Amino acid sequence: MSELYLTFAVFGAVAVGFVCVNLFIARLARPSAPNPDKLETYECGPLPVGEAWQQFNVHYYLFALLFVVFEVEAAFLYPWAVAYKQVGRYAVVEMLIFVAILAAGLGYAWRRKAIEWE
Amino acid sequence: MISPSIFVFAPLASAALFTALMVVRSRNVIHAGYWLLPCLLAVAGLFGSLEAHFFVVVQILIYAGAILILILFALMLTRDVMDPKQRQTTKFAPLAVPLCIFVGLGGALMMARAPWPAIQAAAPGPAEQTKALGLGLIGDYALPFEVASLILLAALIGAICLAKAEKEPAAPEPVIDLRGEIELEESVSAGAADGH
Repeated sequence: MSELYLTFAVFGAVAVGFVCVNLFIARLARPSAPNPDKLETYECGPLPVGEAWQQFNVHYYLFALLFVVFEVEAAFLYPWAVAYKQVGRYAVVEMLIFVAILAAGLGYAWRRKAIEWE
Repeated sequence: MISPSIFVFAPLASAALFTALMVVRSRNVIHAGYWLLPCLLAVAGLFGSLEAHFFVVVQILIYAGAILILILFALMLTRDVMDPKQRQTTKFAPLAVPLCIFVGLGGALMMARAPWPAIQAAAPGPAEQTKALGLGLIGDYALPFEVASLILLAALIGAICLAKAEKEPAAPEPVIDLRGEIELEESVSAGAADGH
């Protein structure tokens, strides 16, 4: 186990500890007045109607999938960017093909008006 | 002799197993989706303990970040599955027990019999690892690398076709489909919807 993750561990412990300590201090200072009304779902004043589970627009899924596709592309770009200097032009052409295939997909999404919010 | 790395591996592995179990056990499918987050992070930690630094970042970015969002959005699209009273097993459930025992014992046997070569040399640093991966992607594995982009393209086009095909016939509600509830309690629901 390298010491690389020690920084992450310390950072994570401080971040979690910061929240816990602050909530604990707040708990010491604040008054406690439990009320069943406070547990109601907040619906901007009116009483909530029906279930909170709705069937959402399929557009959300499309956006999430676009996000996944281009994040995977970005993840592939990192090792390429570290290595391409050693390989040169061939590496650039290869990555251009990779990006072009996905750009075609983005173009298709654009033409089908999939990235427009109607 | 017990290697000190067991103190890193054991908590991470048990966290991954416990959260994976919670994913399967949760009655509420959204809770199951959220249990995936610590599970995927624990797997990222396991990658870290193996000194596969690039995959730690990729696991967090893509799995804990993007794929989890995709799964949660996919769950938001479902309706019937959301019901916690829905039966979670089919008639094939009893088959799962012998199957799990078989796969578990078989895997354990294979791992116990495999000769595990002890690697003495220290793992290369993050920069060298990433560079080696990049050289592999450009060189030996150029074709799988390009095919990966085609697979991503196929997923993209498939999602567009599905989303568009589903959208065309019905008049779409802009953000949230409230139709079922609006028909039931039109006046109250209109007030609630305006309140947003």
